[in-house]
Amino acid sequence: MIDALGQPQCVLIIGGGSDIASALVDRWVDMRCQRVILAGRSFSVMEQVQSQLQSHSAAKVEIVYLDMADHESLAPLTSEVFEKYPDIDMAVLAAGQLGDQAQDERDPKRVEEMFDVNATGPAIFLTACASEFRKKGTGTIVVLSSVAGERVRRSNYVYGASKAATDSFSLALSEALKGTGVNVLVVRPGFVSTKMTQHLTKAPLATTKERVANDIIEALAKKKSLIWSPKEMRWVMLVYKHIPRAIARRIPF
Amino acid sequence: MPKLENTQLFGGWGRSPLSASSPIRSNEDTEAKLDAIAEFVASVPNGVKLLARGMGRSYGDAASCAGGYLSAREDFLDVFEFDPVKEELRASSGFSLDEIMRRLIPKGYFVHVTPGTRYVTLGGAIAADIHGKNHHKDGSFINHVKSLELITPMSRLEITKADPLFWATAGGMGMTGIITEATIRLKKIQTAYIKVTTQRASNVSETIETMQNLDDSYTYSVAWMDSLASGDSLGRSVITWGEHASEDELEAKHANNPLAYDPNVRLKAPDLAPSWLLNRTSIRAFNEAWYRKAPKSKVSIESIPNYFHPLDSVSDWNRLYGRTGFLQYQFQVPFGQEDTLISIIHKFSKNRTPSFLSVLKRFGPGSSGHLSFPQPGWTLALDIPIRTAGLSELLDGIDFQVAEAGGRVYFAKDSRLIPELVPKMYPRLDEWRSVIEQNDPDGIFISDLGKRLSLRNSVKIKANLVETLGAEIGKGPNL
Repeated sequence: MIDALGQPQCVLIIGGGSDIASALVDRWVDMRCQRVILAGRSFSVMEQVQSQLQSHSAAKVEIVYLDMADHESLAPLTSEVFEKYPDIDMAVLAAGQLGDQAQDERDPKRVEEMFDVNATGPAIFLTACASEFRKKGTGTIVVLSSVAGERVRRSNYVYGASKAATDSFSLALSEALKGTGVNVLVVRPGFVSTKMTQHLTKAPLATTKERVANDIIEALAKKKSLIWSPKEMRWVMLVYKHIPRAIARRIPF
Repeated sequence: MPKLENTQLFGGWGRSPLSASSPIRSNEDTEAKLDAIAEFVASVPNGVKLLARGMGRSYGDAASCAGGYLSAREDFLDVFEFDPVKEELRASSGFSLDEIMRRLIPKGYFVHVTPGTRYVTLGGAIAADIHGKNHHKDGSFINHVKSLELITPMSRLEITKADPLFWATAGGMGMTGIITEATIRLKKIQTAYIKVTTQRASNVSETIETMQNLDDSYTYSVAWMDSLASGDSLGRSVITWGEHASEDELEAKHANNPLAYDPNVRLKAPDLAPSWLLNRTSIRAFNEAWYRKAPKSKVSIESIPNYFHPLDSVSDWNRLYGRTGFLQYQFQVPFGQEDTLISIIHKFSKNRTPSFLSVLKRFGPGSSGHLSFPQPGWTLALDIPIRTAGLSELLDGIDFQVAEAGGRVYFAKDSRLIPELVPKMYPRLDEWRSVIEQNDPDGIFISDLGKRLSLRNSVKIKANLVETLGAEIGKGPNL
């Protein structure tokens, strides 16, 4: 059960290898979390996260296979996980891939894959997960979105547009779930230095996974449904969203 | 048969956490109703949880049952039999102490134990085994309960102090079944007024010493402490002691009608208060003004609501904390652990934890309830806004300190304790579990609190947790 300060006791992580999710779980297992279920498609990465967690916590860490691109199996597998671990009170959707804009924009197959993993898969999972939590009358879903989805830019529009879909979907889902005991928190991190972004040059207001994790923990205590991390990013994006396109296209990132 | 209504959100008085469940409402009249509810309870689908809810005045998740069913107090308002010869009341569990007082104070009778609010049901008072300002003299609520009736998953039972289930129910937070009726002993009073002795204590040592010296001379005793005061003023308090006033102690204007009782609500808190309204600055200013206003020492005559239930005059005052809500932290440490008490008060002060007047009280002997909260020692309660930075870590450290000192945290207030510390705080947990296991083998009656704290199943202590918390208070792990 989630406590008054928004802390979970049993967490399901979709995209169990994600750096931000691991930083978050790192904090949670040192607090109330008794069990972590890592779900994803790369066992080797999830096993690393598992041994890292077990090095400092006695929390149980399980690994299950779940592929955001395998849309047929997503909903039944989600139900199976909830049935096997009936104590799940928090789900973190951290699956996603950044892609490579230069190649993606010329290859319809790669665009399809980006949307499969970043948009369609998450929408299916969120629907299945929301319905499981509704039955339980309680639960929180944390969706790792991105400022890239807030105003989609020329420089990464395949990724940005796929994230925009999930961001909008999650915000509306959050509204739809009011009164059901299920809460959705949409997190829009700015540039986070992680393994997903190590090959890129840092953008302004770059942050770390630990700081994003901390912002999420604070937001859950305050029952927020949308945050930016770092907080200042909210105001940057507010301005950026309203810059005319002719000018925006000259901004170099 | 009772019907299920649409799912709704429920929480405690602190408005955090919230969960959704379906209320059960009966459409039958009195005679057959309780049997029908018992039948309904016996036939709930496999895996569905069920719990009785009273007025929702516990602070956290004690009266929530996520995804399950909640009985409504309105279905338990049929019996109200006052026996002036035996000085007893037999009443349905849904009656609030407010309703009981409205009916009985004008007749010259009072309940033996009242908490800081009248808005608790008889059932809730037993389930939480509540205490009042006279605990050091008269013990907790269950001391004055003669018998009670219960709907368990198996049957309808009337139980008395001879039954282990009676003691599992007192403080059992509703997890033995639905309390439907109880017979309680009443206290004869001459007037509806309290003779109050007030004294200011300028710091924590003075507060502790004054209460140790003077509590025994009074029936009621409590200290309101300014938890934000620091330095030489750390723990400064206003202590009040009370006695039921006799007729000749009343002023002329009350003397004609000594049992007149007017508990009406004066104010209503707005629903739109922003979460930041109650912050460190506004709370500090209030506490300061309140301490300055208190007389160094005086004796006065106060009405029952003024003395016992000052906050009840503002309805829905919990809304003042806004959407994010608040929590109440109430713990107890045994006598002899005054240093622990002072160290905890110091922690709250050092962290500048925003809290309105905290309540300090000395408990007398505890009851035989397996999970009943009061036991001899000091108890301190603080209301704290949820949005306070670092609150979780602060309270986790204090929980550990309390457990180490042989103390405990009160379930009726709790919304964030960890299950690992419960067996240490409540050493009779296993005894309670074995009674519960026989009474409800399928685990139908379990609240969100019960699930969160693993009250029905044991949890292994996480070594890293003990180390972190232990290191914080400078002690090795010793659980």
